[in-house]
Amino acid sequence: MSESGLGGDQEMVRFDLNGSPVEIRVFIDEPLSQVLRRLGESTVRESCAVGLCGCCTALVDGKSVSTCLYWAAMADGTRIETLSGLTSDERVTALQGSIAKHGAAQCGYCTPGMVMTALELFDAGEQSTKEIEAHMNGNLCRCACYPEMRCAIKDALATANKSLET
Amino acid sequence: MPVVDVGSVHEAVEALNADVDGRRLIGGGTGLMLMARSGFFVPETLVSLRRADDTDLLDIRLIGGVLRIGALCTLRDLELDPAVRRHVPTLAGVLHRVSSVRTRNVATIAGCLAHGDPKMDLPTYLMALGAELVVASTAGRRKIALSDFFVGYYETVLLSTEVIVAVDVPTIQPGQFTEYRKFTGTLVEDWPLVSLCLNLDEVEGAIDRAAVTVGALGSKVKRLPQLEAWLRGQGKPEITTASNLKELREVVESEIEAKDDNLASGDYKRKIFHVELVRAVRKWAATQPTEALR
Amino acid sequence: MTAQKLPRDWTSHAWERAIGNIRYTDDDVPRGMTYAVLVRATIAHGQITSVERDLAREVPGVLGVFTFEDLMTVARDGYHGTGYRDQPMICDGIVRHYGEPVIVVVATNQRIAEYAAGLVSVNYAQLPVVLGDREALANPEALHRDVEPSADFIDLKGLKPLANNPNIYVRSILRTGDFDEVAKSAPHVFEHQFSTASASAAPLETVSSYAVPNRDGSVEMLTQTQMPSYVRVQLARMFGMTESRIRVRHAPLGGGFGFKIYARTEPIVMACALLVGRPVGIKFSMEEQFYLPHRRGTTTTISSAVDEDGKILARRCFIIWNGGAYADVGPRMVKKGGNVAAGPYEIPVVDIESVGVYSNRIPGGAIRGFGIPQIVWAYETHGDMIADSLGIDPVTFRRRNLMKRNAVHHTGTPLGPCDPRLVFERLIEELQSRPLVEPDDPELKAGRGLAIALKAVMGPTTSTVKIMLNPDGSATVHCGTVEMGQGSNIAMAQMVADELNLSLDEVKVVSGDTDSVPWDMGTAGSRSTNHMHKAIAQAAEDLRAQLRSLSAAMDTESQIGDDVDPFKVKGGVIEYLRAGFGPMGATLTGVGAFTPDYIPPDSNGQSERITEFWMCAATSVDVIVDPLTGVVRLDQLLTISDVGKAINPEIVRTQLSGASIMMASISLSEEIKYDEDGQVLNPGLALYRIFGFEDSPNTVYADMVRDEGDEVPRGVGESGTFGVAPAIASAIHDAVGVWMTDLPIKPENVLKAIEEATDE
Repeated sequence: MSESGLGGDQEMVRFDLNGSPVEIRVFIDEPLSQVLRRLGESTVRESCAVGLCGCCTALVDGKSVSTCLYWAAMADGTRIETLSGLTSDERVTALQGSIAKHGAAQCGYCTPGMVMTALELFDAGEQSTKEIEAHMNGNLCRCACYPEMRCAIKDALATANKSLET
Repeated sequence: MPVVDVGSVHEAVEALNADVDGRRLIGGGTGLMLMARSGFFVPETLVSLRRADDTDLLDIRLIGGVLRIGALCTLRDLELDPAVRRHVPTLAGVLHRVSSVRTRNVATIAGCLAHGDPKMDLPTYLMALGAELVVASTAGRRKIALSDFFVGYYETVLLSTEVIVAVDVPTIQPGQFTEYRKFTGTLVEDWPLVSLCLNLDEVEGAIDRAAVTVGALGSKVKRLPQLEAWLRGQGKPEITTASNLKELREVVESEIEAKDDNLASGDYKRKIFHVELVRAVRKWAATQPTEALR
Repeated sequence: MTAQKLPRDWTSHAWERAIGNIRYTDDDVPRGMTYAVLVRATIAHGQITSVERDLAREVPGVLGVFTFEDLMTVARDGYHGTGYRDQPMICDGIVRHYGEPVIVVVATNQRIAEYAAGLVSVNYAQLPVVLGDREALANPEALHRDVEPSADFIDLKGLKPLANNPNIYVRSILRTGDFDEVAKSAPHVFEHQFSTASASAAPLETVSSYAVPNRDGSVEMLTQTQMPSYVRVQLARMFGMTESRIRVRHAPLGGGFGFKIYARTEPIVMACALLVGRPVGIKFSMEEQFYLPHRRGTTTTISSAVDEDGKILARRCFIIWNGGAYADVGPRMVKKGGNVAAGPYEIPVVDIESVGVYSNRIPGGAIRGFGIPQIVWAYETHGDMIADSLGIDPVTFRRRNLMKRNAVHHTGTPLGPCDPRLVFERLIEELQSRPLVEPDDPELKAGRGLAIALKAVMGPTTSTVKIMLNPDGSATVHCGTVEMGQGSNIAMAQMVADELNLSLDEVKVVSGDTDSVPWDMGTAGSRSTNHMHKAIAQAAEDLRAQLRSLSAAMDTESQIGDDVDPFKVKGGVIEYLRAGFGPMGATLTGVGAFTPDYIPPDSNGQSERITEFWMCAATSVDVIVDPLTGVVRLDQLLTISDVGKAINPEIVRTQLSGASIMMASISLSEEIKYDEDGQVLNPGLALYRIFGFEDSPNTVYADMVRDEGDEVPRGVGESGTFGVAPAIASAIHDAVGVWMTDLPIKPENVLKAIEEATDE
């Protein structure tokens, strides 16, 4: 841990968070996850802190990232979205409804991260169960909702793909 | 100023050469953040090319028989890129199994290779293909073969004042066979316990040139000259006869070094290397003679 | 676009989580929080000889750098523990496990605290390190001296370490006859040994606690706990405070699994808060969590005397539970595990000795299953090995020996409605329509195995509940059960709704605050739904009686007697409340409590009432084995459990499934690795690997059985764990003909076993 952490240099970063501009000072080694939490984003959660569990997932310029491994200092000029900013997103609402229907959340700590990571599947056309699992391989659930979550994602994708066809 | 956004590769080289401590070039930054969070290394200043004018840093271009991949291309960019799928088709498949989609969204090819971690997939694979790095420094540009790039655990020949600009990957030619094997043990997604890549040129049913790399077993990814020598001249399907496989086993025992650690014994790792190599060889032996593999 | 309304059924549980609606503990940190960081021991056993903390103290923003002695200036008793008060808040001068907290650094923010913690240096005089199960048993040096029993629980009264081996902190005996006598004349006697490794619950929400000292000397805690009432009692005792002056609040947990029980970080932050006079909080990283009490390792020797038809005539078990540095809940686990170590089988003579030993490992705590999975690992695999030796099919073997409902268990307590045969036959029936699937790759081998097991509920412990009937007839329930993903809030609401004849959305469940929520022992051991069901029934009766007497103030036609349920009278409740309290009515409060009957066992472990109820579950697993690498993957998994009445069947199924998958992960992938100095080699999820999507079984089928008319809910949360490991072992044997006897089942060991079998 560097001495600069004690009040040394900080970087001013400016980014768009869920449609609103944010300006905030960050330490050089601060991960984006901690900055987002400082900003009150409670659906971004640090758990493993090594990018393996997905609980800290947010979108940066439309792509899902592990914010625990993302340098906040490098977030300048980016567009960041968390679950709370995506309430009108059709992919998100489809997933949420499907998760509820299938009982695919128990303690719920990993659930926002699951939703955020699964979003990219909507652009990928039809996906087999194996492909869905491979895409979600970086999202851990200790409650082991995996069977229900597989169904939930598959269901949500199938509905979305069907409505694309009509 | 914690982040230095340079406008070009040239400026990046200058920034890194300045007599200032604690400067580090950053790609996607995932590997670097892992090191910082574990206290291994915390940079004072990040030098970033994200705002540079050099568009080739994000380009993927065919130059002769080589796909030149810009240093800042993310692994996910490459996984989805049509040029990659056309010219180095197995690369997309290897990338698909690298870590998770979120890591691939951020990690750059240059950052991945410069990290020097023998457990990563790309070094093992690209080294077998004969990839080369295009590197910029105050002396201009030079090329470094990936086979010569890794020195040890997290250690490469890249100086802290140098910048990887591109990765040149030879495109897959007719008659070429490539198979990357990653053994993770119990979990489907994990760092490899053993990894290897087989890259063969076949002429009229026999191996004309072979490159075999091993990753994860030692402190660095490396080529295996004894195995390569043994493979040269082998034909299919004869390579899979019992006596040939016995010989192959002996070469593996001779050339592969593996230490005991808290993951597995050296013996087990060597056995797994052999099993995975034979599976790769069998896969080749089952292909039609001299047909380009897509 | 209007905000989404949550539906009024069981799906609202998952909805809330999917829309990110849950506020976890760290989402509402009290204002003015300062942070504590722990400096941890870098040896597994030794004496602290010196501490250098001046550098740390001088860092701007540091409020204190505290030793145990410093914390003791505000505490009356620095020790806590379920069975023995052997665990100091932080190291008391003798380090007993690697990673034990030695110094607490408190600073105005986490960064400063971490930086200052790095400046503290501690020196130790090393002592011999004892790690292994047998090594700990044979250790001539006592790791603890003069431990005091905590006497908080009836089932742990009279605890005393063995006089001639004080490292054995509990020895439990269950004996219904002489094994050797029976073995002498039995046609067959089999003996096998099994082991399990240390493992961690590793909840994704890492542990945190926050203590806020008030000006009047009272304290508020916000902490991740499955046992707020217990925490309050312990803090009051440890700090010499009146219980009413300690408030313990909690939020829904991001995973509990038995990890967040009893007192863990609370005494530390409380002491620091009292010392610095400001709110102090602590948040563990995932790596740090690995130094908290977790699933202990075991070594079991099990023998059975069997007749020609595979009928078990006698069984003997000797189990060593590696308790680690502090006893924690070990004494209970040793006893309860010992009680069921012979399995759900009719066996006339049972001889079980179950011992808990101190060692220099991280303390053994509780994790889902509470020791039963380790026990079942032994008896079910042992049973299958016997069946195999005798050429008897494992299903037939179990059918010949399984207990049925109302049978008297080896402890002397009847099973009551818990029916292992019902559970077993249902599993077999389900398997008929789900044949083993051969893998596409001809090199791989498939196999199927199954197992069945029994567990007693934790007891005796008390649940109380308060139901406030609102003027409009809706209800607000104050219930101490902690929501941690098992859907307890909805289950409690449903049970109250059933009693009070309300719809689900007319019942609000309040938990999370000891200032308003009455006593509950804790959410653990599969006790909550059952015990609260009874407490709620009593509270509802209390309300009925009150409503009836209120109706006495009305005209004769409207008055109701004892034969009428006021909740079933249309519009009745509102009328009775108005009759009693005026036009706006008022709140009527009903209270209920439940403590099971309990008879402590005699010196042979016999009692007619050792548990309030039994739980039973059977699991079948299909594996795919790569015989050239030893890698084992999972295809189909089925779990059937007898849960009594399922309040929310859909949620119950996900609990059974989730528990099974968690145990599959532990059985195949999880092990806390120690080097010979006792250092933990693999803390954190990068090194301690848990199952992801691709590792969990391809299909999971989970369901419940119960007798018609069985209206009492029994345990749900743990039963999915019981039989998974031995089912996997049997499946591996079915696939590749080798028996695995040590958990976790590692590819290298499978391959070794295959090679040795081929050599023979």
